[in-house]
Amino acid sequence: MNGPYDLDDVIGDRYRIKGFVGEGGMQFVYRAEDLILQRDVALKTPKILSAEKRFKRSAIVSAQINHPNVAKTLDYFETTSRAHLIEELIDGEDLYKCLLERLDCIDPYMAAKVFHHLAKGLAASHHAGVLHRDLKPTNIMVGGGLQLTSIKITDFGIAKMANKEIEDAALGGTDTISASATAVGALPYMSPEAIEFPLEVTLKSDIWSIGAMIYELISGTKPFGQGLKAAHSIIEAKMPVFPEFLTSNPQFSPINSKLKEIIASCFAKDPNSRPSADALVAECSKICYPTAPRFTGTIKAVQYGAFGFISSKQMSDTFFHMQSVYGRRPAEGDQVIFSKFSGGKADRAHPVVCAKQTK
Amino acid sequence: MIIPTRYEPTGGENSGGSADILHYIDTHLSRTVAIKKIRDQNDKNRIFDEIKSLLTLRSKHVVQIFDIIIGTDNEIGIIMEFIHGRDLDHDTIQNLDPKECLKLLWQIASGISDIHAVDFIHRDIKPENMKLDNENVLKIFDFGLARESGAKAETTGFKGTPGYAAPELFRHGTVSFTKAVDTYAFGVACLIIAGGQMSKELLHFPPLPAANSIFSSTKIVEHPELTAILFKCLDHVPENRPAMPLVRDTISKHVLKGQHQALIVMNGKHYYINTQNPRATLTGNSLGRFSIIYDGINFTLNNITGEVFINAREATDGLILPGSSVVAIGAESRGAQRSYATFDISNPEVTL
Repeated sequence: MNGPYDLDDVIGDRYRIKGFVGEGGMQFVYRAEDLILQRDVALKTPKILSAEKRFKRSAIVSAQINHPNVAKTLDYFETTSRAHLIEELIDGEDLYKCLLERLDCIDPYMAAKVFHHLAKGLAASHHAGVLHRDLKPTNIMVGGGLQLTSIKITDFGIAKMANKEIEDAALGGTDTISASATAVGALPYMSPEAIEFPLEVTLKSDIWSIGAMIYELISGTKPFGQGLKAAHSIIEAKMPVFPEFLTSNPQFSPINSKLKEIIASCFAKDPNSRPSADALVAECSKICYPTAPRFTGTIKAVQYGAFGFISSKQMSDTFFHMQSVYGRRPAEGDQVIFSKFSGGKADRAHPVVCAKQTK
Repeated sequence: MIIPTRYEPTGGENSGGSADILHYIDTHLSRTVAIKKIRDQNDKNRIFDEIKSLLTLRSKHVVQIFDIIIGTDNEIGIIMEFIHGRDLDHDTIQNLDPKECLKLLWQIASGISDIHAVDFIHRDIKPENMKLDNENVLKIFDFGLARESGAKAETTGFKGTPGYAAPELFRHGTVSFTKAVDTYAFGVACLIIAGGQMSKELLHFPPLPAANSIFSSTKIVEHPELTAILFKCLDHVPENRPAMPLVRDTISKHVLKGQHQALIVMNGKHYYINTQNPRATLTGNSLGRFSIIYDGINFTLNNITGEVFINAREATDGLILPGSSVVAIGAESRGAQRSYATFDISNPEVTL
């Protein structure tokens, strides 16, 4: 097993290691059993021992957030050798694995739900004065697979009290926490100021990141590209082009027009011009989006390029019309994700999106 | 019991009540906590299970339970969130305007719904067990954890607060708690918070059915749909009381009066229905037509002619449209002549 611990090690007389979950840039993450409360938790410990002070600080600030859309920080303790943070364990996968890796793009209904929930979690964090600084799809945990029964922001690993941050910067403090820009966030989701002036980031930096994530969901591409090129585009803050298919289908254009408008507001170069998290929640709450269950199936037949049927193990064949397709039009044999409603003889699918084909 | 050294006493304590609640600083997470010691050793497993379910609760309107400590003497200590704020006392209640009052009731209903969502029953809902924090967020506290309970105790008769305790709690024989005891107490709490009087029927031992007009002198009298559902909370048959999420959502519709909107997409066109534009009429291939009217609270179907189906069921005038509906114009036999409209409602949030 990776990191400092082995299976069945008991840490702090309380947490028994049950498995290795993964590692981020800064920390190892284990699944552990809380022997007192008989439940599984996420146990995190820093990779670099010198990061301990910051680790404790992030535990203290994130423990102040109490919201269903934020993974709960449960405990913090130090043993003679290391610091540990105990976090609510989310049985599920991150947003990248659950949606982006599985689908070409995410229909605006699902994207609106993700947006709304993330905005609510972020608003709770910002009310507590906590800046995330590293919002990206791999830091969002979802439960229930495609049903997205829970959506939680996790890993406030490098979050700090925003106020403290401003104070530190004002005092010219050279606290090394933000020294390396690349260490503190995935570039494609970073705001211009997070790249240029990492010491000056404010809560509004998170707003940019959330906009970048939702852009990627509905379009299937990163708003400013990847790598060094992305850094330049971000600093320029030139409004990214939204692909045409977002609004070409009248069934989806009303919601996507609204989403585009909100996302664009997140990409204001001047942080003060971006909406607050509260304002984002208010905007999201105006969007009319359904939350029907999702199914997976295979396109069985397409007739006249206009409609066809989806076969799925769980049910009899479902009728679909191309009007209900978001993104690429599926061909026979393609894997799709869909919702459906009862339509008499055969249920009707709506919406339908293509899964990434594994041919 | 010996409290672990990570907790340093502040010297503070909660006034009143029989439980021992002392205030500490949790030095690991730099926050003030309240620690409640459970002396009752008889029913430790049940208490332990209950606390475990409360630990999964993430509610803005319920005081958080952080952790449990088990002493060497096997005593349980519950580590709870400490709320800086003020009581929901008489003066606070009296000064509420109708809108603030509605929002407060919504917060309480939300908190109870969240508690019920993890299959927990509070058992002592009343304004005295609620506080407003410094951001004016209502918090419910004091779960019946420390009370002597368990199947045996429940049979021995009345427990709870007169006026708020549901009639079934006064029955002889085995009394089992259901979530509906909280619903009843919530109904009474609403009455008091909305400026009504604790009537002699409610205070009777056991309580008598409340008068039909009990909400007529309250601040929420302008909302008959609301007073009707709150009156149902006081039903003497526990099963007849509405589930708390329904009560919460009904209150929320009234708090958010005029703030909803609906989106209809049909035949490549879309229509928004909201306060500015409260009515839409849709026609499909001469097979049928219908109107949707927004009255500030609900979206209602009207003026239906021909073949109109909602979610594959025949539509009728006056039907309140649930969010995420599909309207079909034309019966199944019409095949490709049918038109479909998707209907979705926005999800406005109550802002405090």
